[in-house]
Amino acid sequence: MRRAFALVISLALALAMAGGIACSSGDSVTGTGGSGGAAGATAGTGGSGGNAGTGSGGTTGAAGSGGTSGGFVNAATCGERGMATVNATSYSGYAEFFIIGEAGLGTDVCAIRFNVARVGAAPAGCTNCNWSHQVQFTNPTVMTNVDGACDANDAIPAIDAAGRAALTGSKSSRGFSKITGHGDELMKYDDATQMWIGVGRGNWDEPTNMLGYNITTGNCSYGR
Amino acid sequence: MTLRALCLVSCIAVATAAGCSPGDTGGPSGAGGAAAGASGTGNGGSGGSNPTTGTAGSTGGSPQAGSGGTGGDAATGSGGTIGGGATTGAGGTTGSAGRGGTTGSAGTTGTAGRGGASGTGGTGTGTAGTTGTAGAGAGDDYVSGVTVTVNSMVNTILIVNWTQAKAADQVLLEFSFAGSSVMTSRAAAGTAGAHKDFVLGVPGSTAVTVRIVSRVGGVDYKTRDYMGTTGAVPSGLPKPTVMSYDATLAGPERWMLGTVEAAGGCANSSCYFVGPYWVYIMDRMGRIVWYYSDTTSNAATSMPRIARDGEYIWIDKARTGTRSVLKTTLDRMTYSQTVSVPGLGDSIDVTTDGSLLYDANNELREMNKAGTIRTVWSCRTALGASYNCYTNTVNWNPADDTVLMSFPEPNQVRQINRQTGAIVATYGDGAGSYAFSPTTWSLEWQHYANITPQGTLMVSTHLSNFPEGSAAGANQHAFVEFTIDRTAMRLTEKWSYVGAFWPESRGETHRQANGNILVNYGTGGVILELTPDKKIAFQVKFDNTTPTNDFFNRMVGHQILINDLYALNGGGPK
Repeated sequence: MRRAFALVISLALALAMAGGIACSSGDSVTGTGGSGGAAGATAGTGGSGGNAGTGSGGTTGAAGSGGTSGGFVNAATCGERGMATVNATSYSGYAEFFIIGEAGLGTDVCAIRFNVARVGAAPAGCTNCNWSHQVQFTNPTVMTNVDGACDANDAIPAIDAAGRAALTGSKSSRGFSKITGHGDELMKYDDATQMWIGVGRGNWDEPTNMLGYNITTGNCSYGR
Repeated sequence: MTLRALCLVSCIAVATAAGCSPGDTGGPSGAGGAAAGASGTGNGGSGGSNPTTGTAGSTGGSPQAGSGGTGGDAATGSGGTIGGGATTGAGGTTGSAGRGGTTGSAGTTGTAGRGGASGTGGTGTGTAGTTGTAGAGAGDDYVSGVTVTVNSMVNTILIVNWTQAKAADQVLLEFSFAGSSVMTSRAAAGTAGAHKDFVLGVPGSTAVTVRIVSRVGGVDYKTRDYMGTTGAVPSGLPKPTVMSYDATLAGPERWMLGTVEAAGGCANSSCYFVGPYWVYIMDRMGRIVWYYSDTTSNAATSMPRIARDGEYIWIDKARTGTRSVLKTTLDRMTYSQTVSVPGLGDSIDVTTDGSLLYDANNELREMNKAGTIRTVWSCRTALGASYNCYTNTVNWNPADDTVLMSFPEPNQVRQINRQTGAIVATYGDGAGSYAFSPTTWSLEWQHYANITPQGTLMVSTHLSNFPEGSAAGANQHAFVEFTIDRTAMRLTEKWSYVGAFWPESRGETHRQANGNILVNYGTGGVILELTPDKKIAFQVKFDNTTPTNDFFNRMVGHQILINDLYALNGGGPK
């Protein structure tokens, strides 16, 4: 009996996992399947989406139906690129949050540019860094916006109108580690973990103090 | 009418889709059935004749041309009903019979034409030879359920699936597109059942005509035409421009594998080495026929290699992020494997036993096929804490099992015994290095040192007065080849090319099998194939769309000329 019970539990878990955590609500032993989860967050993944409900799963309940289709239909990659003039005491340039269409193989469908300038000293601990600064984002400018992609996407950080407003005036810390050869990592300070982490490719041209970087933050989607 | 003229007539008939031209021309030793079912043992079937423009068999074969019966492609013509044989001539031994029109069906009453078993082609009036190809559409009996689809991972590859209804000795694809020659895939065993093959070498957004060939007893039975269209090349891939191409000077290779970074736009290093990176294969017209880019990775890719232990390629993902190599066939379906390579730096090479040689954390390392990693040589241990151990090169020399590493900051190249880790030779600056002859030579911010099969040293280097950080300019850089005198420890200039371009970083030079030299200018975005007497046989430029300084364009990485794409699509390690 215990084995059978365990089997049922395992089955329920497997169903839940296979269904993108289909939430079986209810807690009776013959509970019916849970209702579908919330809408998938990304485009085209309807059915797999859905977050676990709050109820405990019925032991024999069938998997819940999938969530409804997410909101954004076009696959893309998102990230941040930028250029700046940087030395040990100053940082002045821009950062551009981008969305690249064709699942990242295409060109920009959205680019939001912020001015970025030093406003203070960065936290200590950027080991092997040539420099580090606390910088502030200001003056958002929509550089590219194909079919409204900038206002309909799931990029992180958010870059729709509300996201741009939130980013404006925000402060963060960044550094550059040029350990070997030409081109190394842009470092950022993670406030949550209070640690410096390498976030992506960068290149600091020492003779000109010019910094370039390009960080892909991963898959995202846009458009409805 | 001379025989040549007769051939011309046949060719024109073919080119104009003039119905079921029968075995157009006969070879001197007799060829397969003429297009419309040559006068061998089979009639009809070759069909595809356009009754309005051609009469089966009327154009007969020329025994000299030996290209029997390619037949007409009557787009609207119906299959010949009886598939008449050639009246005045038959295909030669190498001739192939005609094939059906695109919509024409095989002859309704005729059997598939095939090379006459008793043919004595080649005499001008001879009948079909013994090795002819079956009439058009004859292969349809062998094949069913044909589908042609686009490979979702590489839009320029078509996937052809079918069921081999009747076993054949071999099966293969025959395909072409506007302006191309007829190309074929590799022949595979023609066992009955499900089959899959790939159309390689076609540009994006291109209509392709495909036929499945069942080869039985030396006779090719071809299906009717199937159509497919490749998908578009991704718009993010930088577009190359072929500045010049002279086929009489260039090597025989039809394609080039290489990498390019879709960045640039400034006249210093800050806008390079930031990505994204693309691996591509282009043809000699600069048309992209294959591509790869990992858009979700922050890694750098610039050193693809052709496997030496199988028929696939290696793609490096280096510098930052999760470092790895992707080992894959071009179709990314037959074989694809990602292998984590901790610490992977800028350069890789591969060996015949399937090992990966690479730089990581100031060491030359080797990962064997089983995944075991060993340190071949430690730069830090060998050369001390103050030595700048950054290397832009790992090149394996199979002849003596050594590895060349290029250290651009100290202007030195080290040749290291792969088995023992001993330094075999040092080239460039510093005590203990080989001397140069003439003495005006030196290594300066050099890249991609390699030992040629002839035992010479080739390297891309700035000239002596133009070290790292020099302003860009013409005639400040060389691709140079030295003979190596290991007894006298001397490098003697054998060949050099000082050109009008400038690599702020990177740059490569390779000697090709035909004696030509393939070079690139790294951040300059220019690739050249040079003849030994320094003529430009092939010039490609990845231009920068943000003009700043034409010495700075899209950064190109390692490139390799290729003559057989199917040799990169055969399978994984053996």
